[in-house]
Amino acid sequence: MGLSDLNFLFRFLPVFLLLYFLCPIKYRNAVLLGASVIFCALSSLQGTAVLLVSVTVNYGLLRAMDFNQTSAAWRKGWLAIAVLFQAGLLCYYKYRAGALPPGISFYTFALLSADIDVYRKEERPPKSWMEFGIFTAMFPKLLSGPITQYRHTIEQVRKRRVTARNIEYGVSQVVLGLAFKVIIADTLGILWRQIQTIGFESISTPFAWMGAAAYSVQLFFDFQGYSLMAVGLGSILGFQLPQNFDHPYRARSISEYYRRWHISLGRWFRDYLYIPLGGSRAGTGRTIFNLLAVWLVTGIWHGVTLNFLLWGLTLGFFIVMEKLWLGRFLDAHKVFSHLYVWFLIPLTWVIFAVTDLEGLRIYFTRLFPFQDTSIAVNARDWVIHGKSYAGFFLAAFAVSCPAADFIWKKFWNTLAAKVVLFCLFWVCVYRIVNGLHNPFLYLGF
Amino acid sequence: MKIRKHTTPLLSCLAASMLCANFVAALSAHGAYQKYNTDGWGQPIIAVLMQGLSHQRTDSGFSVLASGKSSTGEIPDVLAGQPDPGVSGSVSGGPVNGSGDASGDRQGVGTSGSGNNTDDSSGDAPGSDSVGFGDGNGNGSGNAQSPGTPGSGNNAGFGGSNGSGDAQNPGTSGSGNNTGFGGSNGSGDAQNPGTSGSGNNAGFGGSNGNGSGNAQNPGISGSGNNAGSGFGNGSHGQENPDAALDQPKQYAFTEVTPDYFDDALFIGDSRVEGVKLYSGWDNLTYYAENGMTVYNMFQSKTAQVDGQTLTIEEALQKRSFGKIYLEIGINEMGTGTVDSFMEAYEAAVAHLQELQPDAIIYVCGIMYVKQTRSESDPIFNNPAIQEKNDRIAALADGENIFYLDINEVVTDESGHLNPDYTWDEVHLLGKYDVIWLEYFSSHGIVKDAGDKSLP
Repeated sequence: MGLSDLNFLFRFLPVFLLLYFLCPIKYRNAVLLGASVIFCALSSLQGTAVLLVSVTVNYGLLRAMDFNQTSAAWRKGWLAIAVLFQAGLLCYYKYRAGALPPGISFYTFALLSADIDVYRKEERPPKSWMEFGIFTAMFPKLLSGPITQYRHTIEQVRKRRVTARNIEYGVSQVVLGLAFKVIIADTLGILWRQIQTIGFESISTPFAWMGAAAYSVQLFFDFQGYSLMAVGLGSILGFQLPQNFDHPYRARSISEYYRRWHISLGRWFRDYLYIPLGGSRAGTGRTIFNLLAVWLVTGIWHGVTLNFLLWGLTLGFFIVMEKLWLGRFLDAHKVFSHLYVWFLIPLTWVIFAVTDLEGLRIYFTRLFPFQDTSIAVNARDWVIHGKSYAGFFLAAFAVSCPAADFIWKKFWNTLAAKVVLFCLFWVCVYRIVNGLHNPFLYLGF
Repeated sequence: MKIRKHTTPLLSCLAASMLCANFVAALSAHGAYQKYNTDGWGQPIIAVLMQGLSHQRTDSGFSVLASGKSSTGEIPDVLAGQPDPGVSGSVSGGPVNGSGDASGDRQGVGTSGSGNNTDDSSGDAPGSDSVGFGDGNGNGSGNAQSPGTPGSGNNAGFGGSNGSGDAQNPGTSGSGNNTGFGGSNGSGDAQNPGTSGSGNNAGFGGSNGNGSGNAQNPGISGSGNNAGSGFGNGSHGQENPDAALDQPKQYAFTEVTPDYFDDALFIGDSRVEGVKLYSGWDNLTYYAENGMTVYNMFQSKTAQVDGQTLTIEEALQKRSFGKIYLEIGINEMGTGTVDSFMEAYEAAVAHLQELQPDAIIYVCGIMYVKQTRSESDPIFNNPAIQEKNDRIAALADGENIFYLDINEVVTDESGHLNPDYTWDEVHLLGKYDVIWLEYFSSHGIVKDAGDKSLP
């Protein structure tokens, strides 16, 4: 069950919110944990078992680590066991088992952050299994993050303030996130599906570029929308979860793009991998190695097929280039740097999207038609198919403009904004239903 | 207006509207939108309301008309593609005798009256005979099937006073004698879609009020005697069913050249859209739209005529075609039953004939989906598609309406859509869309040549 499912919006969430707010404050954490376990169980029972085992094992290891916390060797030993266990579990499910338990890629990072923070003595171990469980598994962030760091979050599990303004802000963010996902991302997702349905051999070059753009925008609004919903739900409950995106398409280099994209993951890699490896302070050679290592791991984390490796290394390559000399050039050329990002990033997302290498080769020969791999191409396809999507590209562009931030910040709490959000919510519900019940009407081609 | 502190107007309004909408949805799920209430507890009730609203928006006047037909008790005036004088007599007789029933089928499964289903047998062994009776004062349905592949079958289905008789003998070869009798308010239905061999089929509609006789023998070769008759009360009295017997001209498929398609029209959903865009054949006219359904097709604004975009209804009034290919039905899988689909489908075909009386109509079987999809999807699966295709195939009369099954050329040895031909498990890849037209080329009907007609 995802956050944009009808079952979540019309059944789980209302019931949960009623119970949660009717409950005396001291029982609210119990309600939240119970709801999170049910939330997970509704997706997968086996996954729930994996989640509970992970929480329990890590909790035990943290308590053990705390037992003799003055000894660095003692702590290191327990940390090693925790990392081996949790990373091993993730790898097992990624490479061996058929189905990935819900959220495991994300809560593994949350758990590792707890292990490492306690090992570094930056934060005390959890006081109870329940608060550790909530930190790991609270349903707003369970499925796709944001990845919270233990030292920033655990205090909020113990004590948080709920205000009417926070609730209202949270609801606004949930609706906005839902609209991003359902209206923009899902619609442009159809364009990307169409391209695959037609087959890469049969798309024209302009259509191939349109597809790369559509996939990039879809991915961004899908994940951004989801993250907004997660942060918004957190806000309703009194949490301040970290924002995951900061306008990545305003970046002027690939490195900057990834400081603005999936921020919570980037921050995790920086704090727990890149800096411990020496970061950029141990000489150029070492920096390059560290960057490539981080991007290799990032690629592997995203998926098991070869294209993800290729994707991570491509990004690593450009980021290294930027570190060496390209960055200075980009700094000096404002327009060029934007074009550079807008040109390269969609290409890297194509590598990310197309999981078989033969398909990837064909797609790139359609993007850059130096080699003819075309069969039955309709040269006007980009006009025919593109017509219905122009509005959604424009909408995506409009809400990504700096002016949109300004308007949101200034007006989100006005009556007009509420009317708009109210309507957006119902438009989304309408679209969810009619997409869901008739996949061909919706995803048809 | 200023938003006051300590209030949550957006949350409150959303919560209130969700409550109200759920209430309205629950009401509509038992009322106007009952037919969308198919999910049970799988989806929140709001889904019913939203679906209903969506269909109200996209549905056409035509489909409203079509569904209106069943509620007012009229019988669709086309049976097996051949308007039968006996049947039209019964249609006019209906209103005289008070409340007419749309079809014996519906009455047959009704609970009132002392229904008596003595037999509902199916013989699947080759050469077996089966009889199904439903009689008594009330509702009954008789159902007899003999799906034996080779051999002969004698099938009879009798319906009681409000009942339906249903007899099917889909044997591929061999002979079958099928009879379906409907009682006083009822329909008789007999089908013998055997491809070869002889079949004697008769469908009788009862004496009182509404009766429909439905007899079909879409066998391509071999001889068939078909009778469909309906009797009206009083004025018609007993009519000799032999009078309704007729032996239509039968045509056989032949290879045709591309110019055959110069006056051809291909109507359909996204799959036809694919053929239009990627087959590379542009001498055909295509009226195709994503998500087109048999319910909304005539209102679909997809027809380009003299630079104008018209609905298919309007376009067919302006232009005439020699051949019309219709491929539709996958988008309707989630809604209604096979019967309600076929009711609309038959009405659509009849309307096509009305608009284009001279056109050869090719009704195409719905293309299958890939095996993985078929086996995992409760709605879009090949057995469900085949169920519809069997019924669509039964519309063929060998004279004006012909059935084409693309699945003959796009399936693999497992009988599902060839996995190499599709990415999304449902549509052909662009490079394979031309298969449709190649298949049509090898299955053309040429009427002008008299020697093509079979005895």
